[in-house]
Amino acid sequence: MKRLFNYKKYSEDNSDLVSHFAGIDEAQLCDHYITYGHRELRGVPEARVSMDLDGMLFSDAGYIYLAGWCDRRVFSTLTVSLRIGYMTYDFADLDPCWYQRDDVSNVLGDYSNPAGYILLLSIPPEELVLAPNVSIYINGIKQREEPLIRFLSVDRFLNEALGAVASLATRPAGGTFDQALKLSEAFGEVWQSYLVTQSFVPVFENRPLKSCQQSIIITLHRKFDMLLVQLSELAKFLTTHDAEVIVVGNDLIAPEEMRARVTAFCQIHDISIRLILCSGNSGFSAGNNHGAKVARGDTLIFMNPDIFPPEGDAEQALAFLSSDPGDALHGAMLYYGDGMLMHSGMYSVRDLAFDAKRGKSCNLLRVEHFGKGLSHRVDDNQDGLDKALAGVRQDILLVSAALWKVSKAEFDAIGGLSTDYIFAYYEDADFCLRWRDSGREIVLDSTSRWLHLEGVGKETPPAVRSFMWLNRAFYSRRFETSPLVVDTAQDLQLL
Amino acid sequence: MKYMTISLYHPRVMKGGAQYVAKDLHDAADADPDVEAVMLAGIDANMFPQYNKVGASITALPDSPREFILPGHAFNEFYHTVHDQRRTKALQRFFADHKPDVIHVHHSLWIGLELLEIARQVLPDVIILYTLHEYLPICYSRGQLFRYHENSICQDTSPDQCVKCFPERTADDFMLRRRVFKRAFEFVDHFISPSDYLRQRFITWGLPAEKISTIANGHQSMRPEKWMPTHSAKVNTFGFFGQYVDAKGIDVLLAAASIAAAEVADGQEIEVKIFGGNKAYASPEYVKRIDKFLEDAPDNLKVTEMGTYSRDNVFQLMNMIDWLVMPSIWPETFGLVVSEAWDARRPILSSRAGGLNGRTVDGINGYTFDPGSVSQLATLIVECAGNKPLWKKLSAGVRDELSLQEAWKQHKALSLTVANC
Repeated sequence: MKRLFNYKKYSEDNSDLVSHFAGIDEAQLCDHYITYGHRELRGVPEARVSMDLDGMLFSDAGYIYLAGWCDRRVFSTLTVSLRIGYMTYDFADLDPCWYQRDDVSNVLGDYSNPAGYILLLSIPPEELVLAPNVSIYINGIKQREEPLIRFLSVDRFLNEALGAVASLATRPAGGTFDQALKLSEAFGEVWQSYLVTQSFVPVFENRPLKSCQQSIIITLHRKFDMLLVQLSELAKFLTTHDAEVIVVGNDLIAPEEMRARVTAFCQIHDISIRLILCSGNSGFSAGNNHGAKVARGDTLIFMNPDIFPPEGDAEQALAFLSSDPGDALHGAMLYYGDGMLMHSGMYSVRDLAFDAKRGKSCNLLRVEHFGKGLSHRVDDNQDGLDKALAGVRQDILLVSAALWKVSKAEFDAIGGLSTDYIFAYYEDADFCLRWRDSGREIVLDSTSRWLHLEGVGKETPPAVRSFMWLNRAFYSRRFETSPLVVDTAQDLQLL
Repeated sequence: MKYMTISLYHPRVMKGGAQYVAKDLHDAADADPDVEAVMLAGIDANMFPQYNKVGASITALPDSPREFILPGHAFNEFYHTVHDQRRTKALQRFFADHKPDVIHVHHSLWIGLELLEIARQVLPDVIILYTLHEYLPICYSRGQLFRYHENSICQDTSPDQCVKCFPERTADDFMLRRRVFKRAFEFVDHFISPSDYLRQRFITWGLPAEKISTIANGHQSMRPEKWMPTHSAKVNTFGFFGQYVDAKGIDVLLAAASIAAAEVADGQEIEVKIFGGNKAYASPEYVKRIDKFLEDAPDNLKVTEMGTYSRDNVFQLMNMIDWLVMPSIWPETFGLVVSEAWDARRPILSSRAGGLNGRTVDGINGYTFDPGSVSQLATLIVECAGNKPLWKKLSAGVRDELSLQEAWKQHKALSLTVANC
């Protein structure tokens, strides 16, 4: 084999180099081409056919989402230049989230290098000068020139950008773990910047208590359709015990209507209740943490809005609310609406996720539930319950935050729920593992049976799929070495 | 005895079967010297703003000192609750002021299930009666127990089956809905069903059998004294009275009439008169199907849409037909039209759907057929068309049903029985 450099053609096409090198020097020109020229796509008339920008989102806080593809044999690195009005913002040494795009690979013929890229860029707010006309250059090539860009608020940007990456969330986990970790960090930054802007405002209080024994914290997201039904079921307990309800509303659709209905409810049931609205969606953790912060009870009860005592058998369930948790974190037996066991506690499993094509594997954690699939019903006798509980391993037991009971002092001592998780999911397992790591006890109160009417069969929106995926990666990385997490092989023996 | 009637709508606000029954009973109670009657009608204030006074949750009905309106602005149509603080205050005060011995509730739509609890709180000893006018507590699909996607009566009301009519909801939603109704119904002392069929469906659903009695809807006869029934010259006019909505079976009647028209002797005509309102509520597919029947009807089948009717003129209109056809494919709770037809001594060709079953006796006052059976109805139409002796025999077999006065007596007796329990 013999390699020839066509220096004459290179010099004809690149007169700037001829003047730069003060003449035609084959060796200099060849060195330039190998070092710079081929990366600069000198002599490539249609550079854009090797690259494209599919999606872009801009936030008014300086976050920018860019997604597209490129032929990585042509472009081994990416640089981005944004011209916003009369300002230019250059981003070099970018480390995009690369991912496999079969539609691109089928055209390019390159199956070795993932061609899809996702970039989450950030312009510090103090540097950002907003202007509607934006041009986007990637590796010096103009990708878009938009005369009118809509800058999104951070929450909108976050939701839309999460929705835009949802296709990755449904792929085999082993092949996207690295991407999830990378994106969870990037999205996490956006999430935290959003979270600090959130505020909570009390909008109603009935029968205020200076202090009480129990504070039941119910955090709602958008809808409150089950709230009055739930309060009806709790009303008898609430009017006969030294207890308060704190409802925290995240991004409620019709807060005025909720308040009107709750106030009318209080005319019939004189319960102690406070309604607190968040300015946006602070997520499960921050919403509940705020409820805990303002709680006046010694005991905190975290209750999802879809938790109900069994029909005709409320007493045993409600007893859970008034008993002293001591220093332990307590959960209850949870059943589906049809009466079958949902679970008797949870545990976390460590799987080896893999991407054989890239010769990589990683630890990926999941949360499993004791008793799921057992033929045990909410109205079974003690014998049936004992059989269901036989498989519960106390040494790895976690309990779902759908219904928790814990002393306020202990909850505060551990720092509450982690707000590192975007919106929701995995924060309760995180809390339980931290709780146990600190030597504290977790108790599954098997004398208390509750229905958990979680939205079975409801479609998960794309943005939700994404933050579940990102949160799982974050949770996996944080607890992959935890001794409280069992391996896949151990899980095979658990039910 | 002080007897308070709480109804969905008032016939002066909007006409309809349930409000007529409630108002009739209220009037009968009002006419009873032993009884002091008061009526409160829940309405949708958004639909009838003329009855809404700003800030007032209970308003008077002009010229009716013992009849009141309860206008509502926000109604949770899934759980049938209202939860409005002004309204709650007004209701508490209304109950406390009137101190009824009996509160007879006729619906939950625009009344709100929490009213039952409010009434019990304010008046712990009050007797609460509740008439079940349709299947809404069981069935979110217009309270009809009819599966439009299968075109059949719903026999299994398990929550997962409800999802088939409402795929956007979950079985849990319907379990919770059932629970809300059952919880509210615990405040009711006794239920009244207008038919045994409806009673049985609610017992199956979970109401205790001993807490639910059947009392047919009383009928106020419009028939003049010494009036004699007559038929048309050809005894070939079949009439439909009712809502122009899908499950009422107008399509069944037209399909059967088309077949019958093709089968009757040459020169014989069949006429169908349709008296019905609310065509706007029929589905486009249903209207299209009806229109197709009308287009394709044989020459000897004459179909006329007669427009709406009211109970003020229904007796006269019944005399424009020879035979009443009740082709309902949903399980009718009672079938007020049957009472109206019998008041005019019209023989009835009735489906055996729900509460219709058992009212028409084959060969005595009419004939029956399986719900939705075009062929059975067509055979009956062929047999009846032009058959004067049969018409006279069946017309003579018609007997009056429960009168309004008798129905009131039964309600009064039930109230006393419950009070003494």
